Amino acid sequence: MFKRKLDTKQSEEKKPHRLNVDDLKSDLQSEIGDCMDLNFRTLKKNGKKILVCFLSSLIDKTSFDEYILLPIQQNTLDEWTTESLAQILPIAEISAANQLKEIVSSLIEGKAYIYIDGEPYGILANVGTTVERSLEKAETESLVYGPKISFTESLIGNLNIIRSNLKDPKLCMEDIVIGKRVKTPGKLVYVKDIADEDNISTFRQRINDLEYDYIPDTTVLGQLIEDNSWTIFPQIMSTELPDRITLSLMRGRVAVLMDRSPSAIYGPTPFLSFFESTEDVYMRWNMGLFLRMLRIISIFLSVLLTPAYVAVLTYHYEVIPSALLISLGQSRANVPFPPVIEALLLEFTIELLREAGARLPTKVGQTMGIVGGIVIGQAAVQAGFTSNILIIIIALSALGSFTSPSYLMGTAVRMLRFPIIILAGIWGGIGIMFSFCFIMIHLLRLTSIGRPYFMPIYPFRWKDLGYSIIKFPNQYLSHRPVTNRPIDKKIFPKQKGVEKKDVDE
Amino acid sequence: MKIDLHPKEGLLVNAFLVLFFINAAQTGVGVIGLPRIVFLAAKHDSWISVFLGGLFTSFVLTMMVLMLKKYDSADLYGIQVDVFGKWIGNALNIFYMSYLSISFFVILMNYIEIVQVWIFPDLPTWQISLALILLTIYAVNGGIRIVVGVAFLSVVGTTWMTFILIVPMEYADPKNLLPLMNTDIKHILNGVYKTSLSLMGFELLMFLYPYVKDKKKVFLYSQIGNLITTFIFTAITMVCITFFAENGLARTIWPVLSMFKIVRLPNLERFEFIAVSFWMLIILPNMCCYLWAASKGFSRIIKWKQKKGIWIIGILAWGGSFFIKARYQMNELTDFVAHLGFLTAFCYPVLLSVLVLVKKWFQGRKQSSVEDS
Amino acid sequence: MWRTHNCKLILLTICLIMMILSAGCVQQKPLEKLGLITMSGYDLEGKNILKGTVVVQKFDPMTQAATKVITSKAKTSKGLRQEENLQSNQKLVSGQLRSVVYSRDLAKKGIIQLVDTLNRDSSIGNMVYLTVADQTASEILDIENDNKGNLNLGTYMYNLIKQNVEGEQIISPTLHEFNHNYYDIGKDPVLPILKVKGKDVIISGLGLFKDDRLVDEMKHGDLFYLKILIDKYRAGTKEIGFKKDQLKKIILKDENYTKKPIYSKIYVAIDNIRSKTKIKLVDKKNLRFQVEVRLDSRVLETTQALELGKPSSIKFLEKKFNEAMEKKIEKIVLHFKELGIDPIGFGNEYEAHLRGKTISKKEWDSKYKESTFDIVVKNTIKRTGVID
Repeated sequence: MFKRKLDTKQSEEKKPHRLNVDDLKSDLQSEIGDCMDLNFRTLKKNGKKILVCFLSSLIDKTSFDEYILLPIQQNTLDEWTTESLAQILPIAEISAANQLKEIVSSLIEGKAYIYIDGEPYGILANVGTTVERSLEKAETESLVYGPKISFTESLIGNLNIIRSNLKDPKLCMEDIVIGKRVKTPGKLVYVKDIADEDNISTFRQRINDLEYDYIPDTTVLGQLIEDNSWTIFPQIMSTELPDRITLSLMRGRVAVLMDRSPSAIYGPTPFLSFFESTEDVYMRWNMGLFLRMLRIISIFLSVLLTPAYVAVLTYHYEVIPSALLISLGQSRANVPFPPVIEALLLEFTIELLREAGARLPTKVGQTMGIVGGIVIGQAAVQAGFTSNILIIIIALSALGSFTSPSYLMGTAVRMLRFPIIILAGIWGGIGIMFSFCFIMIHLLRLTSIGRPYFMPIYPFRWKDLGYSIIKFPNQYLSHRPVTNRPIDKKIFPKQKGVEKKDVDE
Repeated sequence: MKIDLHPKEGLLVNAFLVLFFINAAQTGVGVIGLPRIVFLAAKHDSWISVFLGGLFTSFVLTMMVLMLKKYDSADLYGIQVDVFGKWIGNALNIFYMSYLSISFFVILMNYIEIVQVWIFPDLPTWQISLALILLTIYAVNGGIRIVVGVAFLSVVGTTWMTFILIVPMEYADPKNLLPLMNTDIKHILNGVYKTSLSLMGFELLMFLYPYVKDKKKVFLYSQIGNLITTFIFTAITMVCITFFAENGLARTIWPVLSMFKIVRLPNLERFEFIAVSFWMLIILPNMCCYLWAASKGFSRIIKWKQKKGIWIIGILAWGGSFFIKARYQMNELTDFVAHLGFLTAFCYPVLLSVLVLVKKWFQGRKQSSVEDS
Repeated sequence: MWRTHNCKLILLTICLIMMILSAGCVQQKPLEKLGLITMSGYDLEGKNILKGTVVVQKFDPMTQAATKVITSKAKTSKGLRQEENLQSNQKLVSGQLRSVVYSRDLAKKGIIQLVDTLNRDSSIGNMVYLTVADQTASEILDIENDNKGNLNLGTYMYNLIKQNVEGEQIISPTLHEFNHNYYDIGKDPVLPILKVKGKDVIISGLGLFKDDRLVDEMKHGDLFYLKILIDKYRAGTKEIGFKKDQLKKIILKDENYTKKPIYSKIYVAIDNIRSKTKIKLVDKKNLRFQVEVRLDSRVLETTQALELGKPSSIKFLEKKFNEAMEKKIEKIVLHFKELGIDPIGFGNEYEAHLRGKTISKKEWDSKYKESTFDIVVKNTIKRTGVID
């Protein structure tokens, strides 16, 4: 019975709209709703009514006038049928349609529907335009060295950039529809003989399975399809840099782009890939290595320093060397709170500064920094609110957390500090170690698109170390990262990379 | 119960991780007190005892792997049922399970004792034991891959501590090791026996085996893992003997930590405070491995969910921690586990493997005679 | 894709933290609320009574250097702590203890009971310096009061000893080394002796111990020889005096250089000394030890011009050095034997060759009395500065 119902529903959907201009008009009006921008234009040619309908906010007025109205008005055909009309329209993208649903969704996409009274079907012509900004420098992921072009809101434009950056015939762009109620077009991008089929189908399946009415941006999509939504660690990387996407594609990852979203997501992205910047690739390998180590160490210190301060000053005074003892003790002597509260307070202040700076316009934001840094810092010490050593430590750890190329990861690291500080205040060094063990197990348990999050450290992939935690000179990286299980494993023949000439050869 | 275990492809671990598994399962709380315990038996030749202990372990490991290779992909729970039949086999399984659970408990309690002696004399036992047990449960709930992962990261993350041994070496007096081989064989063997608590953990290979991807390489990597442990333990014992005066070593309960007392990092004065905290990372895989193997028994013997088993053992261990109050109780329990460990981890697998080899040989002969006739 | 597998555990962790917070946590020891004992001294006061003096470092926002000296009397050192706590507004803790002073009387009677408590307390480090006061310990600690708290005696003492240990003037007197030497049958500890001089504390010599009892004292002129016998020597200076006729052969007879010497003897200072000492048991039965000292050095100062350009005269000087040093070392070693103390560790060498049985302290003491020593010094003068 259920099946039958389904059948009737299907046949209902399959039914063409009423083949009368006036009826069509009222049908469309009721279907689209009270839209003031739904326009109709009726022309009369040889006694036949030609209805052109469109959403005025979505179409390009000049091309509409030139390529639809002008040919119809100026042509003196004897017989006006849909076929003959199709012949005279100077538009590349036209299609025939007579389903009401299809017409409505096409109108929303910015097409115009031309219908000649009495014909079995009409023409959908694409004269749409979308508001686009021109290509700009990347804002959230700023770089010193390397290409700085960033994605825009236009899916076509973004695909254009990727295609022209990566002229590989095997580059696949698969159509996907994102969202159930509002169907946003998107693309699943991968290089066919590099990317692992499992990764592609995981992405495809997870996006298709989404029962979500409206997804505004790829970052939201990323949250919806990631493996564990409880953790604070991001598992899918979101980026606005096209070269980051192309590099990842060539390493066997899979990317998803979405219309009207200026960033793309890609995966699988293990923990350490959040500390990779494209700069590491463009720079000489030793500089890249240095920067990457710097980032990892600074993130580590950023998590460790403040809790260590709290633990040492609350419980382990024995650990302080005698040279530091007096200066630490003196600066603490004024402070009325226990070290935990002191540290939490100051961390909170730093977070406030960052958040306030981010919300304000750029010019005011800079003043914020100065106000925060000098006035609050200096005043807090003089008022005996905090010790000046803690200010140094907090500033260092805040700096450290900002070195992460991924803003999400930086925020995660900053958030992570608070529970560790509290635990350090409860159990001292044991508390810190406890939280480190917990984070370690947590990272081990996480997955990114079904692949272990702690790759390539665990499961240990010796070959991939050169791609993630450290960086090898290019001649030794003759293979793609094993982590992504690429099908085509080689980048270049290994022998070529290490060939060496003899002296005077 | 099925004798062979065929886990999903995705659950298998690489053979070379066996190296880290063995190493991490062996290194634990035992090693902190090892030099003294062996020293009491074998005097300044105790490093020889430790080394011989390691060699003996590697012999046991060899027998173990020989036994495991006779089966397709079986763990100890399956083998015992296969060899002794359903009833006796399962009784032995339950015995082994309780041995593993008690080992888990002893590791936990020993670490807590160290924390209480060295850092927080007034830290309530129930708090830290609850925290550690929850941490272990969290890891073990992730399955064998996570347990092996914790073992791997623990070994990788703590290797630097071996280099700290260089600092006490500066204060060492190598003459303490001389004359070599001065202790008689009886005392040295007694020393070997005393190493059992520290070297324990390798028996867990019998539970890990079905989960190893390339089973041919298990032998190689387990031996390497054990040799690395042996080498580190021997080195620690040697440094301890030379670092302490003999009467001093005999009096120091945790010689390794006492030794760390002299280490000074440029901005940290007393390294032992770091070491005690850091030791958590060393005992964590220990606890995880034992808890995993013990709780595996629940799903193997009585077909419960392993998760249930994990929680049961965890809660029992936590409850048990309320009953240990003084150092001497801890000592008695540790000694008991050391004896038990010597029997169940060292002697029993050898015996079992002989039984299995004989049984398989008979079966093979029967089969071939059937085929002949 | 919302998996809830670890939400339970996260909830549990939060519960755990809540429980611990509500149950009260470990006793906190915030740095600024502590009185840190940086130095402590022990005196024997009459019968069975210990007088303890401690220098306490405090943190006071008002004053820069806030130290305080507290004195009390009790039977045990932990009893002293109790008494001292009554006199302090901040909780006294000993985790930052840097040096300990024992009075001479106490040291003569034995200090192991007081050292043992340092070992037992896990908050006390192993690098604490142990010293002996020339007279009473309180006299030394009272220096802090004389200086009105400006000296910061704990740090001062720590640096005084550390600087001298690093400059190879004295033998490192840490708790660990004391323990090692005390518990070792074939070696005895040495600790520096401190003395008050004006408003300062100085190191006046080395106290030689037999087990834990102070037996004799060594003046700092001889410390050099003890140091090269016990330790490796890497830098440092030593001056040795010779009679004029001993070096007659190489005194420069230049016309331009006939200034009248200031001293009646000739003193030669060598510097940058690197030494290596080997103690060998040559004869096991009769207990003959060979002490071989190898020195590399350079001549930096002579009180009379010497002819240092010629290889032969350098050789001659070396020989003279060897003889002088051998004589001195032999004297020291025989003195030790006479006192029955063994700071150099002959016993260890003997024990290392003792096969099949162990030796008790008593046995070794009687054997030590019978042992003989050959002393060989090999000094190489590597260079003579930037001029000949």
